[in-house]
Formats: sequence, structure tokens, C-alpha cells
Amino acid sequence: MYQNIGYDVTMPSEMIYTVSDLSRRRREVADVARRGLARIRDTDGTGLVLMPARRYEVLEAVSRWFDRLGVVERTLTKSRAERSFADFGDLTWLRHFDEDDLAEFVSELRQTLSLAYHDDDLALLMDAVADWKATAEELADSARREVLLGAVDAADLVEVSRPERHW
Amino acid sequence: MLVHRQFKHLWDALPDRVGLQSAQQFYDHVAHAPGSPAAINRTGVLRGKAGRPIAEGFSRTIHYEVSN
Repeated sequence: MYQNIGYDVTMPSEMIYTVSDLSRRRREVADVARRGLARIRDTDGTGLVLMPARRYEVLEAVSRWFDRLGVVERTLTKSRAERSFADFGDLTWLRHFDEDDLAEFVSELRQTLSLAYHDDDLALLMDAVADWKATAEELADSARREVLLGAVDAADLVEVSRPERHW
Repeated sequence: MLVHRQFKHLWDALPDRVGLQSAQQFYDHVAHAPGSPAAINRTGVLRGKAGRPIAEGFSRTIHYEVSN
């Protein structure tokens, strides 16, 4: 299925170029690729595609994160007692979250993955991941975890002033 | 601006750790526009339970990265 993502890929390119076209018709091939996708058949019949690097990066990141979310979802089916940090794959920092937070992580990331794919833009996805990772780093520290997750009383807070140089 | 008493010593040490200018930029941002993206450093909203307001009238918890 082809989505309208800013490139002209509402229809797949029917034209299949040969490897020699990369020399003889390079401008045409490049222009087709810039609009979405250029198909090329190598001399042994292998199909190749040429596409904007930005689109490739989005597809690569979306598929990688889709796979990662699958790992997290499988981990969530285990009880906390059965679970080890290795169950999170390369997202070991997720071990600092409880079940509710992990479910929220999966839900938010699924939404941002969809936006990244359809908008052809990884910014929201990368921001969301950075915020979740920053949160995990805060929760990894016991003192900060207690303040962030515990009840805070007005007596716990002290007023401070703008830092100034004191000579 | 209010600081949790557990971290008051870190607040006092901030100018020495990141430089006076960075500490002042942090203060100015948090005091005047905590909900807006910082002009210089990265800000974000903590996620999950850690990001929820600590009490009525408070915003969600902002994470501000101070660098020197």
C-alpha cells in the first residue's frame, strides 16, 4: 500500500530501470527517486530501489522501533519476578518503570511511530524516546525516585534565589 | 523558585558545577517560562508517573538539562 507522505508515491513507479540506466539516464532515475522510489533491476535480476535518504531513515527507524516494542510487549507478559533486565533487549533502561508506565511507553511509542511513518518525520519519536530515557535515568537514582514518585509536602520545599556571583 | 530540601545542596553547588551563566539561564527559564522549550538547553516532560504534577496547581514535571 502506498501512502501520501510528501513524495509522489501514491502509485508505485511502474518503470524499472536497468543498472546501465544509472549512467545513461542518471538524471531521470535520480528525479524519479527524489519523487519517491526508483526501481532498478541488476544484471542478475536482483531488484533494487533508490529512494530519498530521509525516507529510508524513517523506514529503518520505524521498523527497528516496531521490533523493540514487540520485545517490550513480550516482556510485559512475564511477571516481574520472572523478568530480567536482558528481557528488554537494548532498552535495558526500561527496567526502572513499573507495569503501568511500561504500558504507557508502548502506547505512546506506537502513536509516535505511526506519526513518524505517515509524516515522514522522526522528530516526535526521537523526542518521546529521549524523554522516556531521561525519566528512567531520574528513577534510577533512589533519592530522585522517592521525590518524583512520593508525596511532596510544602514543608519539603525551600525557596531559592537567582544565582549571583559572590566575591 | 522552590527546590526540594533534599537537593538544596546541589542547587547551591550548581554555579560551581556548570558555571554561573548556565545556572542563571536555568533559573530564568524555570522561574519565568517553565512550560516553554528552553532557548539554549533541551527540556522535556518526564513520562509516566514521574511526570505527573506533584500537587494541585503544579505543572507536569519538566526535565531540564543544564550543561556548561
